[in-house]
Amino acid sequence: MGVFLSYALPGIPSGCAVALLAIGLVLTYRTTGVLHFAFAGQAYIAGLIYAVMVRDGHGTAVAAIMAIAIASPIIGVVLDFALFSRITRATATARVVVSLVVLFVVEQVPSFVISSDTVYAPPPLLGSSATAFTISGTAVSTQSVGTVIVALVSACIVAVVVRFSRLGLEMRAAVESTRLLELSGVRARPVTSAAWAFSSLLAGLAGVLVAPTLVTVDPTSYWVLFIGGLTAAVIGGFARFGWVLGGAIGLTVAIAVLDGYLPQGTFFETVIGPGVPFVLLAALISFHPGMKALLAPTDPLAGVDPPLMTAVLTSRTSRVERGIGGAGWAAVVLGFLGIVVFVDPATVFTIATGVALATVLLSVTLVTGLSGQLSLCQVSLAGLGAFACGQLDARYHLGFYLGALLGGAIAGAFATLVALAAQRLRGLSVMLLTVAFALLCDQVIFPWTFVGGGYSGVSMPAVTLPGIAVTQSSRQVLVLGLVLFTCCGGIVNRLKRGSVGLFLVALRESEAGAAAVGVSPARVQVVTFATAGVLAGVGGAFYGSLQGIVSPASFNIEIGLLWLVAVCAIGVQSVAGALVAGIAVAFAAQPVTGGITLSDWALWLQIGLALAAITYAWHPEGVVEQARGATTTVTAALGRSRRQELRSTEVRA
Amino acid sequence: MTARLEVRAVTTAFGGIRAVNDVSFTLDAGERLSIIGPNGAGKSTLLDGIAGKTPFTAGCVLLDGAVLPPNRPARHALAGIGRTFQRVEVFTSMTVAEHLLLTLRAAHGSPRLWRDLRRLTRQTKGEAEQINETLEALGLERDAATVVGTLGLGNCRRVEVARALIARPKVLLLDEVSSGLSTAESAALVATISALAMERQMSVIAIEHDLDVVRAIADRVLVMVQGSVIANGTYDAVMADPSVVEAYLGSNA
Repeated sequence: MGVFLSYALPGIPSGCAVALLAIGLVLTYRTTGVLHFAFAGQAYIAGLIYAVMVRDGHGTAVAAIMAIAIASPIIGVVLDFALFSRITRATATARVVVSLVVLFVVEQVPSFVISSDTVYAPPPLLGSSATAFTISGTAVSTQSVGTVIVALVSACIVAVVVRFSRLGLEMRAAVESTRLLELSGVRARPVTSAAWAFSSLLAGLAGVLVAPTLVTVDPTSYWVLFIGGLTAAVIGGFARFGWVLGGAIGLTVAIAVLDGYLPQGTFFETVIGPGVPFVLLAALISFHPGMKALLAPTDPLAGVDPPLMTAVLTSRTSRVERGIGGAGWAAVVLGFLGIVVFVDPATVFTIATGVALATVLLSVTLVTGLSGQLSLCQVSLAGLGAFACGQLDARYHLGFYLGALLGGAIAGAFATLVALAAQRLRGLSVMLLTVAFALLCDQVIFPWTFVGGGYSGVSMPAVTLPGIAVTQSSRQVLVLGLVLFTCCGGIVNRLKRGSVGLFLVALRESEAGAAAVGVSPARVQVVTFATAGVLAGVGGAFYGSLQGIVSPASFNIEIGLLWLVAVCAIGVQSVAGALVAGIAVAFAAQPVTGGITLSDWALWLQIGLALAAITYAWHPEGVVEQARGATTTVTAALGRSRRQELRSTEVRA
Repeated sequence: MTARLEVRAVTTAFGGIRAVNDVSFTLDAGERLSIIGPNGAGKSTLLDGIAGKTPFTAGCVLLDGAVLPPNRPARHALAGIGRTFQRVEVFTSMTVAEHLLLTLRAAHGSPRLWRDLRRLTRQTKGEAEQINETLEALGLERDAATVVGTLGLGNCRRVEVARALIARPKVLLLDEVSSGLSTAESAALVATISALAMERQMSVIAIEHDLDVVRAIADRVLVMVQGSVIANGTYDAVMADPSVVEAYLGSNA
């Protein structure tokens, strides 16, 4: 018993901090309809403010008040005012994308404001490491007791406010329809702002309580905290605060106990143990009754709204579209020819990397752009393709081409498994399942030496061309990348213009309408995920081959978020969008030597991508499609006026 | 002889509320039934259940004597049940013609990946003919290339009807199909549907509030109040039924 408690008890305070974040997540979802990934960043900011202020000589109470009671609610209210209150009619997918952008931006903000030195863990806000009491020989510190009390009191306050107070009732009404709420005589804006402030305060509180338990205050630690919170929120079905609290504590304690009992240094300790929370998360999402259709609530008054305009065009003239498309691709080909002939090898390598990423992003085009389903595991599927290619070459000397094909097939098989697990799920629940799979890959599958090669990573087979000596920065590799991208892009375009494309668009725009004509969402989901998995796997293998060595860090979920944000910003519905996004990401991540420093280019490009991604809520077609649509409209209008001119000339004649 | 559609003792309960309460009726091939009743009577819930969108708590639906699986709207559609929605469910970025093409393709039941990759799913001559014929019947031929998101509510409703009709359903479910249409447009649409129902022996169930439309479209009228059927008969017989008058106008009428 004593041994068990020595493992279990330290997990309880951490579980309480996780619970606070989870309660904030559920509160925001229940009151605003936003599944807010950026809470990870907001908790990080609060923890950082607290740590930096204490480091700079302020008292812990003052620092805590600044971080929890002032900065956190202000961030929440600003996010609501500047972003989320303006996209209430956007799809749930669009709101998640915006939330991911906020996470991405929030994590970058401190690098502008404070010095780049590492920020070490601050002293605890409540209590100290001194022993308050012992249970069966296990010492419990006053800090742990304080954390548990704060978490329990906070959870009770939230439950009482949401369930029994007038503000809670108004907040619950606001998520259904702010217009109905206003028709009842309540101003909706202060209500949603209050919800954001309240939930952000909880995120801040969690951030401050966790900061002293970390080695350094960094975004990655808070991302781990957020994942725990997400799992707890799923345990509570994004509804029951008691279950969320119990789930968070239970989960953290279970992990601590498992970690303690599993034999150190064995396969169970390194692979099975860390995988349990993510397998549990996936299982909960797949089978929890409350997770079957985690959809953003729809406004009951939406029935009287006109249909949303999704296209600039009012009618399609295939000749005009083909003309514009042909001219665009001709410009791209000419541009690449110019690059192949004139540009230096370093830039050729960056562009080739971009083309490889673009091939991976084509899988996002298929899943998110055409079917409207957000998947955060495409980067993991790319990783599976790359690792499979590398390991097959290391073991059986298959070379790049056969390895990439088999890597694609393996990634496709895993994607099919994800789709099958998501058979009974719809909406945000499918997205959460992809998060669970990505985390399973990050924490378990990729760190396994058999797959990810351990700390040294996996050596990838080089691209070879018969009779030609090529290096990673050879122009021939770029050309090969373009051929691969063209083939994969051709597949996406053929699916887009064929039956699969029609089915996907139908499901994206009206699942009820699609079902009414006989389209089965489950079947289409499997076909889409499997095909996208193959594309991601093949693209990942090519990307890995260009890198030479790939490690688990090459394909973690945070990198995947950057890729997703980029492609959503630039154009998630078209092959051209994937190409531009891939190259933009490659330039944002690659050093550019010369007069302009690397950080300048990369930073500004990342800021540009983030700003463009925020527009996704209003323009899901992305920058490339907006430009293409506008060009087509102008050309069509010019064509019409020319035809009218000809007609009037005929009449006059 | 087996009825085209048999609704057998169906009930839909949401918690303690019975939105549909032990409703039974049959429909012969080519027969047109209108369901009327005050708001909240359970009409749309019943229609959703027949279409497989909402599961019945009890009872079942049989099409040509075969039980339809509950809560499988796509299977119901492929079995021969077409429908429109009270709140239009169109695909806003698709053109009118693409809506119809989708329905024809969906009749195969699954996405045709290999045919798409081999570019064998380009529109065939037969498909084009069926699309043109349906568009002409609904007066939508000029809007074939128009993106549906730019159409008004009335035209969106006609697109929904066209989308349902092109699949040649055995039973067509219409949920307030005339709302958003002018009187002349309603009359034209009802005439088209009635003619096609007769020609194709297609059964029709229409939920309507406009009694002129009800009179024009229905061979038989079923009246629902608080989830239960209170009258079932011809238009004139139902309208003369005191319980129907009371349900609509109150006991002092």
